[in-house]
Amino acid sequence: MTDPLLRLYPVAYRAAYGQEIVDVHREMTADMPRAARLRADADLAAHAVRVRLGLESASPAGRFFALAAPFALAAGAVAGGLHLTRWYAGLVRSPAPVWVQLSTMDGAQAAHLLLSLLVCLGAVTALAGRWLPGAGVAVCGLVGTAVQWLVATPAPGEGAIAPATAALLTAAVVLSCPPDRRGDRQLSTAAGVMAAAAWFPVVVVDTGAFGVTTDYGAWPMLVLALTGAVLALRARSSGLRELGAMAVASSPLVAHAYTDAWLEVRPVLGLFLLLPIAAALTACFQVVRRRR
Amino acid sequence: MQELALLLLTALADAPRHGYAVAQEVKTITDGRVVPRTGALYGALDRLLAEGLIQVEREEVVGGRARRIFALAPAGRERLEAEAERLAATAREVRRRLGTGGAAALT
Repeated sequence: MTDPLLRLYPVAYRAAYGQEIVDVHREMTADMPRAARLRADADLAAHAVRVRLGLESASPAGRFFALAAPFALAAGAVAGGLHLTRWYAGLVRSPAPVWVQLSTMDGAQAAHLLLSLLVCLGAVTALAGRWLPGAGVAVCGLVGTAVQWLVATPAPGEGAIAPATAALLTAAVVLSCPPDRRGDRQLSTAAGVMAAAAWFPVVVVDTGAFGVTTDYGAWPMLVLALTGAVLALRARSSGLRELGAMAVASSPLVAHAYTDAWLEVRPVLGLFLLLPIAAALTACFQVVRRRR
Repeated sequence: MQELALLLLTALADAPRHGYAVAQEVKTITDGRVVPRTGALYGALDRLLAEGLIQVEREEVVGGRARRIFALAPAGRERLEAEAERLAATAREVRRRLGTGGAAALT
């Protein structure tokens, strides 16, 4: 069983350390029952794939996705949370009795709400410290959302492809986080604060108690960009890595803006410019700070 | 520092070891609570190597098969000492407060 697994490693790594890893794996799994050995094989396969993709925790890509993953979860939770709260606001505002509205809800809408709830619950659980079960639930919700958009839309055009792609990209970013860099407390806190700040004012606006426009989902994107800038300033970096991570994490918010803007591309492109603008401003600030 | 990384550094603190011996030492240190799998073990060892906290002391050939012997690097020793001091300070504070709490509860 081990040799086929070994072929998953890239050639150079396999040539240098393959035999050593095989020997250790063989010794470590020698007395294991079948189920435990399968789990150990899966763990070795995951390590091999990570090394092949350059996503191991020692690599720059691994560090990059470790930074992006909590914010991807947070952005997914913001998009899911906005969907849930908008549905709830409509439910409360409608003159029809709640039970009539609930009983006439179609299956696709109910599934979408349930999947949004899964993403939110999973993200909160992961960012609160239980990364593995939380990220698992969120990824299930995201993959389900993608499938639901593609299956439940009568003629899946741009309107379904954007949110479905965004959900899959978000799941991929979350899964790309190296195992020993998951659940960093500081990043999880920053991502949680970002999500709350991105979600709450929009809910206040939806309930008619806030005077700032949030058209096209501008506010959540602005919060994400500002979070990246703050992280860069704290790390005294140029901002490219942090705002790059925010860009990778932003797909649920971009898709949300795209569907909110009735599939118009220009406002969404305008929103996406927030990230490079924030990166440029951060870089300028750092240059000024270094000169002092 | 993540628990597995701390345990790997601890396992190498008193003697250089090869991968399997490191895994066994971690199992012993934690009384069987942590048994690293091969993928997780080598992922963490690669990261500690890249961060300069451990180093490959030598390669040895046993039964015609080469294996690396890992050792704690000077930076790893410093980091481990700092981590031990931090944990000891926390433990001291826990003991102090438990003592105070216990005394208060008895009065």
